[in-house]
Amino acid sequence: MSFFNVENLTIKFGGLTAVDRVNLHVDEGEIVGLIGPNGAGKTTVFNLITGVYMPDTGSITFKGTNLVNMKPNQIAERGIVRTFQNIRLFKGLTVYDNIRTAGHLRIPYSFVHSLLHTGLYERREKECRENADKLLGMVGLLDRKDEISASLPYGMQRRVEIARALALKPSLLLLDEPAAGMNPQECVELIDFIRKVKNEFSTTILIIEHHMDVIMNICERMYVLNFGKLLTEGTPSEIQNDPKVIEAYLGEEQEDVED
Amino acid sequence: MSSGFLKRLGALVVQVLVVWGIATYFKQSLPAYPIGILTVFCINAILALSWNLVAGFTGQFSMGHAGFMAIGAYTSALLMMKAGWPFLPSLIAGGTLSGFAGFLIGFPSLRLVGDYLSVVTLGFQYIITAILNNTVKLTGGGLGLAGVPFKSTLPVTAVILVITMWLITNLVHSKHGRSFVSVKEDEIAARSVGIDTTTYKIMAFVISSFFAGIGGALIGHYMMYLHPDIFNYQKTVEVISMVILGGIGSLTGSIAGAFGITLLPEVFRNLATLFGSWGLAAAGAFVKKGWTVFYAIMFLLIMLTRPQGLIGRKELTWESIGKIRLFKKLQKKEV
Ligand SMILES: Nc1ncnc2c1ncn2[C@@H]1O[C@H](COP(=O)(O)OP(=O)(O)OP(=O)(O)O)[C@@H](O)[C@H]1O
Ligand SMILES: [Mg+2]
Repeated sequence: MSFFNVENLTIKFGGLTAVDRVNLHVDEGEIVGLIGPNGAGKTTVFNLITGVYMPDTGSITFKGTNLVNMKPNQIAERGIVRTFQNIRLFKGLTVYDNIRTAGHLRIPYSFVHSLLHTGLYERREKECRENADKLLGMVGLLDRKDEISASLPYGMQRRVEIARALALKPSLLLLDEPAAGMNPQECVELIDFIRKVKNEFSTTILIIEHHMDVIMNICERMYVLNFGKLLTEGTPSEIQNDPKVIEAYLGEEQEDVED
Repeated sequence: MSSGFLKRLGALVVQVLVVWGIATYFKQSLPAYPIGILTVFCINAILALSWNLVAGFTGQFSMGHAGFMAIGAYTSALLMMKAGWPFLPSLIAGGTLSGFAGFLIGFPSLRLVGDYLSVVTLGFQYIITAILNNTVKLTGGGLGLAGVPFKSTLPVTAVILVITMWLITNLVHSKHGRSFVSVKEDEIAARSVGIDTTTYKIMAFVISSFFAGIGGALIGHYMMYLHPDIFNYQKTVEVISMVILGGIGSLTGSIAGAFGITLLPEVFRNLATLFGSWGLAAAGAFVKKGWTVFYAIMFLLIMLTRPQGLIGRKELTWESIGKIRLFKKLQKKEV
């Protein structure tokens, strides 16, 4: 039984096949990359995995159970948690409340305890606060925890979003372009940070990224997507020297020039 | 049992006793007119809190709150009058049936993404009115229902307000409350962190309907008379205006808003009589007829200058009151 397996995954939007018969797998403890030119279908793959979209065909299995037809919250509950390319924080809430809101799944108490603020409520909330403090300490945002999350600079919002995902103690973490908008120095920090996350939370990571230095550095293995199809799969050095990949990216650059 | 829980429960009991004491004192020493206003204020505050729970926290808009109030009002009144039930069980049954209606309405409409709830609840309120008008034998229909027992005294309504406020405040400051807010903030993000947003939306709506039913029942037991037209669209708008005035998403704001909206018509009414007694009959008549215009202008001004309401999303605390400039000046003088 493999850890995470995607088979023959396909979705069409009107006439466009955004994801076309994609197969991929991730083993426990790996950091796997998913790259490809703009519009290749990478984010759509994440949306399919997390139940935002329903695939037309194909299967997604995680620890032996099929995730297709499950709701996004059920998938998150099972331990697959994502971040978003465009960052989706609870903008009006403080950094602290963003984390606490996400931690709920792992600190169960029922409605009656909420209504009466019982002893169980008190203990669970304390756990939740301690957990949030720990996570914020780890991402280096403890001193900004009472700020409204939308008021933070972009890079910090990214870290809040990752901390929020970690509050669920995910076994598979999906990161959608975590380095977007970061300068080279921040990218180096991010690499260390992702490694630290992997070690401290013993989570498995699937990461979409355009910054080649980031992805080549942390991934053991990667998949290349182009026009919805899997172009190739391999280690960073194999990918870097693959003529098909170079062509796909060069093609994109030419298109960009025409734009 | 933790000592923290017992402490909080103790604090509630003390609050209830104090409010009961003060309200009883008022009831015995004040004339009927201000007592009436205060009683209506307490009922309105319960209604405003109930509407705010859904709109202010989950971001869903119920436009048919009067329908739920009607269910609570008729249930409680009829149980007392026709089945001989005592007041408290009738009241709770009214709230419960209303909450159940909330579930029936919320379950299909809150599963959909978008503002279906507003449309469905608006329709629901008209259906309730139609049902009431057509069940003459049971509810009196358009003739109204007279002889509803008077139970909504000032102490009773004030204590129910205190308990409602306690429960809703507790709820808001819990994992359930934060899940409500996550729906309003970003439903997709909420789902991505495992929050079953549909369930939480329905939950908030059912609780809100329950308290709307309680508030509606209290109206019946205050007016001693019920009529389908009491629970019309205007009644819903009145409750909404309280929440908007105080600040959507602020519980203390709802209470302040309820106070303002309850008092305002009385102020204008008295102003009209005052002008009349000064011999300014024209001015008196103008105020009497035109106060709704002031009302509208006031709301326009609020929407233009402070769309978040007077208090916004914050809560009024003794601390924050102390921070108001006027009080600061006073404090300085004392030093
Ligand atoms: N909901 C949708 N409806 C219609 N088309 C969509 C939808 N979502 C994605 N697409 C299309 O599917 C294709 C793949 O989009 P996707 O966002 O997955 O690309 P991507 O690889 O993540 O690109 P980028 O690197 O720019 O983020 C694009 O052509 C996009 O326009
Ligand atoms: Mg993308």
